[in-house]
Order: sequence, then C-alpha cells, then structure tokens
Amino acid sequence: MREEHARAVVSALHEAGFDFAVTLPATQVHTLQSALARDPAFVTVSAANEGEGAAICAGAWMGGRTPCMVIETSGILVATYALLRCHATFGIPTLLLSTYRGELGEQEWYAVQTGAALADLLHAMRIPSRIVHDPADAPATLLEARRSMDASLYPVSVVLGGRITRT
Amino acid sequence: MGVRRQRAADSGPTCPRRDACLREIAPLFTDELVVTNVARTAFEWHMAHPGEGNLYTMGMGLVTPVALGLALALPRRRVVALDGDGGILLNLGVLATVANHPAPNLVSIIFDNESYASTGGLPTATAGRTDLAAVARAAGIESAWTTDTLEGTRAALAGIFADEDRAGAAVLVVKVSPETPPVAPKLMDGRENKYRFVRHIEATEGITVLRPSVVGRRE
Repeated sequence: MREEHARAVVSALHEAGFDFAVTLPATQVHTLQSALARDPAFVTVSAANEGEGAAICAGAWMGGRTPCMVIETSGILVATYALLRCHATFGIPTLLLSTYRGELGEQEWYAVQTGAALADLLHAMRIPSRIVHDPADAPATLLEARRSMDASLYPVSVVLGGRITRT
Repeated sequence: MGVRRQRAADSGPTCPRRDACLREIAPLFTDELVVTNVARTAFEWHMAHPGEGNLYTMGMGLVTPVALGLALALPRRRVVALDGDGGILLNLGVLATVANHPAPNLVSIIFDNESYASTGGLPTATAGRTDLAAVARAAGIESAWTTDTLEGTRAALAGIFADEDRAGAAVLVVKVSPETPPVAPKLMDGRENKYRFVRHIEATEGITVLRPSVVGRRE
C-alpha cells in the first residue's frame, strides 16, 4: 500500500472515531500499520494471533475505545472462534480492516484459497462487509462501518481490495 | 508466604479448591473489573463476590486478552482476569503480548488444576512438565508467581494489589485441586451481563461506551 493511501486510511479511521488498533503481520498493509503505530491518537497493540487480537479489541471497546483490527485475509479465519464466542455471544463491535488476498489479480498461489473463502466465511458469521477498491471511497466506508458498529453491537468488515493494497 | 518462583508441587488433594481460593481473595477486591473463565469459575466467583463489575463466562483462551484490552483502555482501573490453565494453554502467546504492552493495572490469576476439569478431567500440559509462571517470566512478565495454599494466594494477591511501582502486568498461578463444589445456579446470559458490566464502567469511569449511531449523521 502506498504511503499516501496509508495516511489517507489512518486519517479516515481517525475521522470515523477509531482510536484503538490491533495489528498483525500483513504484507500488503504494513505501511498502514506503521502509520497507525506512529499516530499518538491510536493505542496500538501488536498481538500474537488474530483471535487474541479480536478479544483485546472486545475488552478495549468495553473500556470506551473504538477498536479496529488491521490484518491479513487469513487473519479473519484465525479470528473466527473469538468473533463468535466473544463478540457475537456478548454483542461487542469491532472493525475488521483486512486485505483481500486471493481476489482477482492475486499472484501468490498460497494466498488464493483463504481469499476464496473470505466472503462466505463473513456471511456465515453474519458480519456485514464491503470491499473498497478506490482509496477515495475509504472515508465514507469507514464512517458507515462505525455507524453499523454502534447500531448493531456486532463486528463489521471492510476489505481493502488489491488495487489499493498491491500498489 | 507460601509464594515461590520455582516449579510448584503437583495439584492434588493437598491443594485448596478454587472456590475456597476465590472466597479467600474476595475481601481484597474493591472496584476492580473482573473477567472470568467459563464453567464453574464463573459460578464460584459469583458466589464469592457478586457485583456489576464482573464479566462472566468468557471463552477459553479469551479471558486474559479481553482483560488486557480493558486494562489498556482504562489504565487507571485495576482489571483482574480469573483464567485457567486450559485457557492460557489455548493461547500462550497472550503472555508475550501482555509482557510487551505494559499494563501494570492488569492481574491475571491462573487457577491451575492441571486438568480440563469441567469437560471430564483430561490432563493439561501442567500435569506434565509445563510451569505457567515460568512461561510467563520467559515471555517477559517479571511479576509472575506460583502459590498452592490459601494463605499464599491471599498474601500474593495483596502484595500485587499493593505494589504501585510495578512496570507491567502481574501473573499469579494458583495451584488448585480439580475438586469442585456442586454447580451453583445459572447466571444471566452474556448479553445481559455485558450491558450491566458496560453500564457499570460508564457510571464509575464517567465515560460513554454504548452510543447511539450518530457519527456523521446530518440531521
């Protein structure tokens, strides 16, 4: 992800009221994660796996923060247990801001299958999701994600498409 | 005071029951936020110290991470995780995360009965060679202790609560017997518990958590 796009997404997250971010390794958004870590407006946590990260976000939300988790596509798979056993069970929102490995244009064989399962997996967990292909759409989408979090008390997903993250 | 940093004795009939430990430490609690493990830990804590600041029955492997999130969001509020050996073993990585994100207001109490007691009693790794306090210290948590007596549990937790100079979280492993009391009455479900817990945080911290969906609304 280009630096200017990363800065734009951080600015959009801030504008939408997010102030707590859990990050895990994600090649395509490392510039975004670095920008978040540098921004004093965010408490950033580097977790050991995405299930743990989701649980940390849940605790942060109950403590008054507005959390997001910035992760690789495969991280959604890792986080499923926490998202269902914690967030869905108790009614706790968190933004899942992920990459979209495996979508059209993917060049790595090992990333194809996780991306192929992403939409159905989110649907099975009843997590609303939108794919963003144009950086200009990020601010409005993140604002809508925040509105849905407050209204539903449930996780929401914003997927950053490859046209944003691969460049 | 019955607290040691070395490998503890095996859990067994000589170790106290978890419910007795919870009753022993309950008088030490004032306005802490408490996140409990699944199954009988939740019921036993509810019997020992009922209150709006308790979030019961968090899933295995999620207790200490949820407590860490709370502690980081509310750095002036003491947060206690009532975790278990099975739960911590499900996600040992959280000990490294706790070590690297200083939260001196976080205390994780790990009741170690060396078994998955509530699901039939299969042994956990702590019945073998694994020492959770040693794992915590190796992960970078300097204040990690083991005790296997009632008196030691109370003294250790009192010491942790009194230590205002600690740079990071504390972990207290309490060796307990797998024996449990009869099952207590069922608690409220998780959603009611969450609302009450969050409303308690709002009232005592002076913050708003449950907000109407008004961000960016024009009218």
